[in-house]
Amino acid sequence: MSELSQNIKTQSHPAGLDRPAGNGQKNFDKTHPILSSGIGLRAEHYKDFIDTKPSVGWIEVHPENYFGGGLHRHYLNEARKDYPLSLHAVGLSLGSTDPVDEKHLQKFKELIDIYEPFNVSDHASWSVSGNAHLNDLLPLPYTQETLDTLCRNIDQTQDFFGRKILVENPSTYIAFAENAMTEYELMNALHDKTGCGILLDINNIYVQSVNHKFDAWHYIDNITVDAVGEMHLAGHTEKDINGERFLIDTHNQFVRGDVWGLYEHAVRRFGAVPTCIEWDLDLPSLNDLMGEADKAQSIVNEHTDQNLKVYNAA
Amino acid sequence: MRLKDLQNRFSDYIADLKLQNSGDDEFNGQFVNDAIPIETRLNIYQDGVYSTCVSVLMNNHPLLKDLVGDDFLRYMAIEFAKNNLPTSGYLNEYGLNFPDFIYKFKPAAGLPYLYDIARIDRGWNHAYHADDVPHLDPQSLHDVSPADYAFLKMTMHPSVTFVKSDYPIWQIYQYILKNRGGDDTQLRSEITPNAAKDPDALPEKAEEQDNTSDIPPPDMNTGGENVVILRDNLMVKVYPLDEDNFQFLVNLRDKKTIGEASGKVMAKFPAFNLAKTFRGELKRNIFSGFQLSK
Ligand SMILES: [Fe+2]
Repeated sequence: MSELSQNIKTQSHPAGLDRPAGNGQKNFDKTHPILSSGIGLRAEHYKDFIDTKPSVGWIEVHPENYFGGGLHRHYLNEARKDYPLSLHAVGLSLGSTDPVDEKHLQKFKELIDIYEPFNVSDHASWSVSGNAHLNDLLPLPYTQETLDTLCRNIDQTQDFFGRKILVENPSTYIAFAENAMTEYELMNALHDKTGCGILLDINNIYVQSVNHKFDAWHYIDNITVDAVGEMHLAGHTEKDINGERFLIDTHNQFVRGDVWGLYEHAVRRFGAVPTCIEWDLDLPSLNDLMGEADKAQSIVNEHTDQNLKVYNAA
Repeated sequence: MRLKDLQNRFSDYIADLKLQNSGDDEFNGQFVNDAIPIETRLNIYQDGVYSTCVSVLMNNHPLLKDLVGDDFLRYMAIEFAKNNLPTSGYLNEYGLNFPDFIYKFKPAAGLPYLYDIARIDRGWNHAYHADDVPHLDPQSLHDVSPADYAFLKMTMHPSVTFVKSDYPIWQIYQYILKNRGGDDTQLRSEITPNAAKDPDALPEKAEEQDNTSDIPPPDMNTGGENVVILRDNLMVKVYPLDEDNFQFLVNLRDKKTIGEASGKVMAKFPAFNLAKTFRGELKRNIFSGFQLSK
C-alpha cells in the first residue's frame, strides 16, 4: 500500500474553515458594526467584495445558502474576517401552525456558532403547510391566533438558539378581512411578548401602504422605538392593475425616492440602526450597490448622533 | 376560518395551476375585496412560488440549458413544477427527481441522453453544496499493514456522484464546455424567494416548445460512457471513468472491501490494474476515510 500512495502529497483540509473555538473564545474579532450601513452579500459579488474590501459597516446573507460547504462557505469565511455579519433567514416559516422544523433550526444554529452574527432574523410570514414548502413569504391574517402562533414559534426559535432574534415585516399583496389589529400592532406585540426585535423593512412598509392603501408614515410613528434592531431598504417594481398602482417587492433595482424619504423619517425616529440594502435579482455592480449603502449612511450621518444602536441578543 | 385551514386552502390554491378560480365564497370571504380582484392578488403569490421553482431548476441545470436552450429547459421546468412543488425548505435539493421526469418527458424523447446530462448537472450541484469533509490523506494508509490492504473498506467523500450512461456523455459534456468557450465558472448564484420574481419565468408564459437545439451532438454510436463528479477541495470536478474503474469504485461505494471489489472487477476485466487505479483515485481526492474490516 505504501507503494500505492507513493508520490502523493498530503492534501490539506478544505481551505479557510473556521470552526467554533469553544471555551467562549471568539472565532472572529469583528462582532458588531460601527457603521450603520450594510449590504446583502450575493455570490456574484464575493470575489469583488473580498478583493476590494469596500467601506461598508457589515454584511447580510441568507443562512439557507450556507447549509452545505464548498465555495459559498469559503467566501463567507473570507468576508467574515473583515466584516460583522447578520444572518437573515427565509425558511423558518414562523407563521405556520406547525412548529418550526428542528432540522432547519439545527443547521441554522451551526452557522450561528461558527459565524457569530450580531443579528439573526426571519419574517412574520409562513411558507410551510403540511408537506408543502411554498418557497415564498406568504401573508398572515392579523388575529389573536396568528399572534399566538408567531409567538410560540419565535419562543421555540429563541430557546433553540439561546438568543433573541429579529422578526421582519413582510411585503404582502393581499389583505385579510378578519384582521383584528394592524401590522404595526402585531409587530409591537411580538416584541412585547417574546422579547424579539423588529427588523423593519422600510420598502415593505411602503409597498404595502400602496397595495393596501394606508399611511406608511403613521405605521413608522407607531412602531416601538426600542424594538427596532435593523432596517432594510430595497427596490420594488411598479405595476398598473385595473388602473390601480400596485407594487411588487422585487429587490431588483435601486431604492426608489419615496422609500428614501420614508427611511429618513424612520432614521429620525429610530436613530442610527444597522440598515441593509437588499438586492437579489438583476444584480448591479458592487460599486452601484455600495452607492446605495453610502446614501443610507449619509442620511444616518445627517439626522442622528451616529451612535449605532444594536439590538441586545442576550 | 382557523389559521391551519386557511393555510391549507391557500396552499392548495397556489399548488393547483389548473384551478385558478378554485376559491369558493368561504375562501374568498377571507380577503379584503376591492378594485383589484382577489384572484389577481392570489396569482401574484402563485407566480412567485412557481417562478422560484423554475429559477432553481434553470440555475441548477446549466449543461441542459446549453444543450437544449433556455426556452425548452424552461418549458420542461414548468411542466415539472406543475406536479412537483417543493417538499423541503432547502431549495438546493429541489428537483432531485427532475432527471427522472425528463426521462419520461415525451417532447424530449428525441434526445435520450438528456436524462444522463441532467444527472451530471444534479451531481455537480450536489458536489458544489456538499459538506466540508476533509479528504483522505494518503499518508494515513501507511499505518496499514500490506497484508491487510484487501480488507480495507473505503468511505467516499460526500460530494461524490457516479453517472452511468448508454450514451457518450463524457464526449457530450466536453462538447458543451468547448461550446462555452472554455468558461468553467465554478460559482453558482443563490436563489431565494426574493430573488425569484422573474416575470419571464411565470407559468402562463409556458407554451409547448419545439426542441430547436442547433448543437450537433457527438456521434451517438460510440457506446456508453460513465463519469464521476466530486468536489476536490473547493473545485467541482467531472472525470470520465472506464467501465472497470467505474465498477471498482461503485463496489467500494457499496461497502465492499478492496479485495472483494477488485476480485469482482478482475473476473470481468482481467487487465484491471488495481495499484494504478487506486493511486489515481487517491490523487483525485475521491475518498474521505477508510476502515479495516476483518
Ligand atoms: Fe427585507
